[in-house]
Amino acid sequence: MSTLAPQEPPAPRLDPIGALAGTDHKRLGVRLVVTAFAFFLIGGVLALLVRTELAAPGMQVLSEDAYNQVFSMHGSVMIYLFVTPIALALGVYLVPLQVGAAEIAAPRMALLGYWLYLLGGLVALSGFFTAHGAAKSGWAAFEPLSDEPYSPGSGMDLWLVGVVLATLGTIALAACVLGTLLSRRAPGLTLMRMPVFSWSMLVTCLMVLPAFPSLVLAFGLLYVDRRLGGVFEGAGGATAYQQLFWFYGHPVVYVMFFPFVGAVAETISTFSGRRFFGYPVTVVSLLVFTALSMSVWAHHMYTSGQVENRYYALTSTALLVPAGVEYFGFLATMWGGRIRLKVPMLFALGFVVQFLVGGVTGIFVGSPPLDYAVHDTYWVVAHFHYTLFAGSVFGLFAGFYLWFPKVTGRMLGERLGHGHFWLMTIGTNLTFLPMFFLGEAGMRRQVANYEAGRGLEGLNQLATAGAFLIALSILLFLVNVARSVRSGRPAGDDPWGGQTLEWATSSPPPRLNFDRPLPPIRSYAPLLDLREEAEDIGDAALGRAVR
Amino acid sequence: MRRSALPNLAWAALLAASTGLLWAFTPTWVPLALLGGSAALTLLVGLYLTARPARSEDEDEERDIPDVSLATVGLAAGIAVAGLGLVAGAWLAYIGAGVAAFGALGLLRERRVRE
Repeated sequence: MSTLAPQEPPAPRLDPIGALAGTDHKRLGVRLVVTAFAFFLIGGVLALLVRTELAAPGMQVLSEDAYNQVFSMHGSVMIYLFVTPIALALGVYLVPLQVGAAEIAAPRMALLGYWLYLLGGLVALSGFFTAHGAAKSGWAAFEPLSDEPYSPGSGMDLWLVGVVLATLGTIALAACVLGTLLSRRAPGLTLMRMPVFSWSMLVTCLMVLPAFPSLVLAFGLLYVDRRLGGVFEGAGGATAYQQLFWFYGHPVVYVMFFPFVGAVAETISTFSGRRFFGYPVTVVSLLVFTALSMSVWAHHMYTSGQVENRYYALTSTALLVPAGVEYFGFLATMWGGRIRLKVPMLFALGFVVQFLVGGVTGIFVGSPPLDYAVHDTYWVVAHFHYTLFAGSVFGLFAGFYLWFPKVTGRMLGERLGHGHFWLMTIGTNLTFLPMFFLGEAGMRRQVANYEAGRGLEGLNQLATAGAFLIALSILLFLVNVARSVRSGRPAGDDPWGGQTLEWATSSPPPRLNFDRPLPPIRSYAPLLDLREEAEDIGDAALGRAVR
Repeated sequence: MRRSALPNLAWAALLAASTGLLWAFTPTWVPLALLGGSAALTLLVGLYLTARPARSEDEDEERDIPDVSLATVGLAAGIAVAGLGLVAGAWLAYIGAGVAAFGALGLLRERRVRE
């Protein structure tokens, strides 16, 4: 932690060409985060429309057709255009810094990935302006619902093309991050000296490369099927489509999870003032976790009767072991630490507690008999929102508050940050907790209306109120960012007492990342090593003075 | 063996073990091909990483990536327009392919200028 008063960061200069075509991984990372956040706001507005419609039985603000478009595009935007790309964006910005590299591997490929993602997202959303409207068969576009007779019009085709483009972009980004991790590490930074966040990005990219092409294949074949027919015919065709889709669709859940596990691990160790507990075991468990996550995809198809439920139940339940190791690491790192409850730590704790709800309910739906009972109900909606929103998005904000000073050179406002955290926590639980009870009461998902008089109204109104609280919390966050970017307190190089290499350079970092020699790298926490050495020297000097 | 290949090789082994377990439960070929294919792909990448020559530090210093690459943006725009052509018609796909070709040529030019 620097002891001198931090200097004002340099004012950002206007550079439109660089903003469009710059290859610097830091500019690219910021552009990715801003773009993904813009998509998040669009997805959020769609979520508010869904919740407004469901606040009471009957049709209020949307037609049934419009509702189908809105919920389909909400899921699509959040998964394909927000959480997945922003998870990789963290890697694009931070991985070269954490491994002491001057730049990302294949920067032009990363730039290509960004533009494919952005243009793909715009193409997918452009369906709203077509005669039949946007895609309306859910984010998974199951057969035969996504066929031409059931989903007519070019909106669905635009969605397919857009999602494929965006996915190709994310594959390119993942390849660049993986290349950086494997071939651009600073001398002395061995694999077992990589920070936990970098490891979490490595396993994420390992999953992206084999799993994401499966979506490209599935949607490519679906496009041909819509145009020419004969690809996914009959029950066998529908099952084959689901196999291809879920081979992407489940690993992507972990792609949207592991980077935030890494961000939370960095946050917890930094704000506990301790090394991450059980680092080697955590690394091995991350590899096992990802391999198992690639092996559970068909648990989404239990009720189809077309898959070997016993195998997927076994692998889904086995996920508990590496997940437990990660959780043990979080708790043991905090145990006995000097915990500072700053905003990043609050979000990290929010992640740890709330993701537990998502994880534990995941064990329920990983068990075929229980899954048969709750399949396609709001119970499942509650489960995956506890993993993706109450978990991943809280982890994202932990990382955002942690690294914002490094990216901008300024601190985010602490008071607004507290407001953001508490409003979002209350809103999240108010929105998603009632959905477990709605699901238990038999309310089906992806349906625009529900019967009056079945006791569903009150819970739905709570969920709707919670959704608007979340929107308010995001508004607070945006105000905080806008104020802090212009006039936030200067952060200095290392405002938190960080442990990894990104804190050993200026904030924001220079073009080639490091403006001074790297510190000696003897572990995954080189800055903590330096501080501990300085303390030891100080203690020894004090001891000599006392003697 | 180059150590940077270790994560890929370890992960390929874990995926192969998972494929073996799946095979013990069901001989259905689609899931086996998906999971086994992933194991094979990861193994191939791992073997490539093992076999490729090590980068020298000089080579790292010599790398000279331009700060901006408009050709890359052109390539991406061309691919996206060509994709739109799948919905709007072949005419747009041809225009997109043309823009993408220009972008690719621009990338080659960037490379030549660097050399």
